[in-house]
Amino acid sequence: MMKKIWKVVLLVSAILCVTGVICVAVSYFLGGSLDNLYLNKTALPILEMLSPENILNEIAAFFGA
Amino acid sequence: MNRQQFLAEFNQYLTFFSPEERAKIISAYNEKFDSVGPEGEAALIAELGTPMTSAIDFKRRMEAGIKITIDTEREANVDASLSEYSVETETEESLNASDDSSEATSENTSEQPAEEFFDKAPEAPVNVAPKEESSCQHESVKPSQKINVFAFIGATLLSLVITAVFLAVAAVGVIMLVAMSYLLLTGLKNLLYITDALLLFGGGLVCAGLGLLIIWFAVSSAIGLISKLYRSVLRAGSDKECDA
Repeated sequence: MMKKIWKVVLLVSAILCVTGVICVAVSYFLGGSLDNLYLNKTALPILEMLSPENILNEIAAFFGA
Repeated sequence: MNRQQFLAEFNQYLTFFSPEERAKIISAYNEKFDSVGPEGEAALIAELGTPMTSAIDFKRRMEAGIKITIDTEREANVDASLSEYSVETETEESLNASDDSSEATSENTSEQPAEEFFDKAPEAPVNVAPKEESSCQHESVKPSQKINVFAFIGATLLSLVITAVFLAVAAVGVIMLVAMSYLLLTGLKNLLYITDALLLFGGGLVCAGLGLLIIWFAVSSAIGLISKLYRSVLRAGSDKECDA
């Protein structure tokens, strides 16, 4: 039973990761880049919120409180 | 299903036996397969049924005490642990006959002490017979009655620690799934800038894949570790009783 679930999870994860990598590759192929993404005003707040520094600060604040 | 597949699957269903007992049972089945040869393999497998039903039937018979007897003939030729267990296949007639006799025998076994029980003559088709540990063998069938309370409390505390650790790991996976939802939503808002949208979708999908993997790793590892812990506690409890 666990093996079956594990196989399904592995398959779904592999599909998601491969699709994601393909999306990023196509974006770079079309001339996109991370620097350009940071210039996007709509995406900037989310990118800052999800940045590792911000997450670490939030964790530290959570445990420090 | 061939012999290897049958034995591999059958072995998986023998979780209620100790590893040593399991090895002996499997080797006894191997002997049986050897005796019929490659041409009789299919017939033997058909006769035994599916590995699961075969294992359940084996356990049921062991608990009922019908088929578990000392194989005295084999004991005379003591030769390694392989000879401790012998397996005979059952025809439909013998099954029916044994089922009839099982009710009567199970009634009798409740009145008999364990030692007498194992001294019975081997009439049954399946014989599983430990020579020296016969008294303990019967007791190990119900290990739940001999749980060491302190070990059980320790296992519970340890399982709480394991749960906490793997909850923290799972939290990382959940954060990645939340990040995925944010990235996908932002990507949808930026569909006009296709390159940015694709980057956001790509990042979101990778986050989702990794998050799923991390969550499943945490859940399955926690379940596996905790179940192993409790199993070892139960086994240790029954072993102690046997030693005493």
